[in-house]
Amino acid sequence: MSEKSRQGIQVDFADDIRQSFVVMRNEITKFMRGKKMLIYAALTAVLLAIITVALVFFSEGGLGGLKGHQIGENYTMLCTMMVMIAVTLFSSTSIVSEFEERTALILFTKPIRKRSIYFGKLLASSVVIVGFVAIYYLFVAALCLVGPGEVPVDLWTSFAIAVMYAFATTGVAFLISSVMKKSSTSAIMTFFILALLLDILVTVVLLIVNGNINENDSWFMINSAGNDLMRVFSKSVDALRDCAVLFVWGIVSMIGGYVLFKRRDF
Amino acid sequence: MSEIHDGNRPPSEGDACTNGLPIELVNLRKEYGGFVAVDDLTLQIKKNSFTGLLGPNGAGKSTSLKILTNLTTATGGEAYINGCDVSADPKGALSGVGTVVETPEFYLYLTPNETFKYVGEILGMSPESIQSQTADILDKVKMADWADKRLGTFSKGMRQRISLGIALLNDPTVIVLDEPTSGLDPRGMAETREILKNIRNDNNDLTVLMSSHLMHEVADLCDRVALINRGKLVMHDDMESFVEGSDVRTLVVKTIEAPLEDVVASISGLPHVRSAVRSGNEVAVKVEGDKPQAVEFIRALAKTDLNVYSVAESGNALENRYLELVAESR
Repeated sequence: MSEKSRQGIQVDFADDIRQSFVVMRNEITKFMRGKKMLIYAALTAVLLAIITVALVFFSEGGLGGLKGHQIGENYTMLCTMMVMIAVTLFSSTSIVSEFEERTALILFTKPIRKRSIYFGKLLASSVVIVGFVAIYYLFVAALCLVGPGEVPVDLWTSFAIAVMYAFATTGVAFLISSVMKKSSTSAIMTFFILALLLDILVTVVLLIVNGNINENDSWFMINSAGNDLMRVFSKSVDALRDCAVLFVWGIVSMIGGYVLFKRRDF
Repeated sequence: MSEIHDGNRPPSEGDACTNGLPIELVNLRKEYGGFVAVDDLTLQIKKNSFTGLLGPNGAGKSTSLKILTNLTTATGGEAYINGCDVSADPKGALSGVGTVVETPEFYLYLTPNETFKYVGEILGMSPESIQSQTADILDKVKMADWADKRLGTFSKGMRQRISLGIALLNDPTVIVLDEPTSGLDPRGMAETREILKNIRNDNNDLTVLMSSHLMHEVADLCDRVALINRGKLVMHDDMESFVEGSDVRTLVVKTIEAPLEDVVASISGLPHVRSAVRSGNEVAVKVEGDKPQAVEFIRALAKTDLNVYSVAESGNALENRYLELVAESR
């Protein structure tokens, strides 16, 4: 390949990335101007408030009487559910909305590759969801400093698993969004698949194969790996394996979603 | 078929985009299951022409334009814009192209200024360029007063004007329009046509391909016409040749008094008359042949006792020719 061709490809690739960031900014603007971000922020605040009030007023000795890992365990028990809700709100309609709302007629007819559009939307969802997860964990860390006076290391392990769980579930949501025709159906299917269907399928498969259900046998499943973000405070978990499993789930579903999106006609 | 192939061939696979024809479809094919929407369509649009793309419903017009604008992938064949294969290099092909396909919807949470900014950034324009172009274009499409209002509050006609504005943002050399006045009220249609006329008149280096069902709109705006039916090209020519190609022309004869049946019958008996149909004070006469035959008819008409005060070619010449060709191509 000539030097000129190589430079041309580099410039083109850099422009693709630039365009992805433009798409990302537009998506985040959409989240901010719509009610989704407000709703989710309110939900998160209410959840944090309920747990905090419960710990302060109903646990022996209040926050000061608890150890760091106990605080972590209490605050992360609903984390996977909160991530699922975030993914449903911010990821499940990203692709389908362009077709349903016909904004694709404006965007897809411009000189921008579909991969830039897909990547930009992925970035936007990821930034918002991980942002909320980070704020959540920072709040918990602050409480740990206020109460027991120390932040347990397990909290950061839990945070890493939570981020990877968000990555994996975002990928699944994009895969679903790439094939659905309506945003409402995409949102419902995303939540149903993540919250129920995958676990039901694994349970059935394990029963058929093993004759019983052993939690350790489902380590490869997205929710099983994700739930370790809470279990890390009470027992030893293989966090690296969990992150790897979630990474694979995320990558495979994102690539699958992109292939389907690229082939989709308007 | 009267369109002349000008010898330009599309670049071979692997070539960078060359400055070929502004728009070229080569053996384009689109199948939906067993249904063939576009059937090996080959069409070359001349540079700086304003071409109307005609055809009955289901002819393949919208499908062809969607393939051309990267909304749909072809089953076979290629679509090129300025020598770039749209499928292989959509980014290169769609640079310098403005499009209004169907009735686009916008991001309703954005204002026109923000929408232009978003599109301009995707196009790689500088902030200063986006700002100045936006102001000019909003003026041109008469939407300057609405620049900072959310698009969710706009009527269909207003959104269509914004669509046209966005199509002009990067000073395109090619514009593709798919029924740009579809769904608009008469005022909206008139305003859109006015904008399109100004676009045509203000730009020397601009090629436009516009599909439409409205014959008077095509007759008003276009200098070339391409007719497709059942996914195939039926005819492609300049407007005059397209219309003149018919072996029948329709003349409207107006008389002072309402012509009675015997008057219509006497017109029917004049030379070269295929048929004569009365409508109020008018008689629509189909005259076979070309201009010399029309002259003979008019001379013969003048020799009658009828109080004829006007003889004019029907404003529906394009429509008549279109109907003739569509019927022939069945």
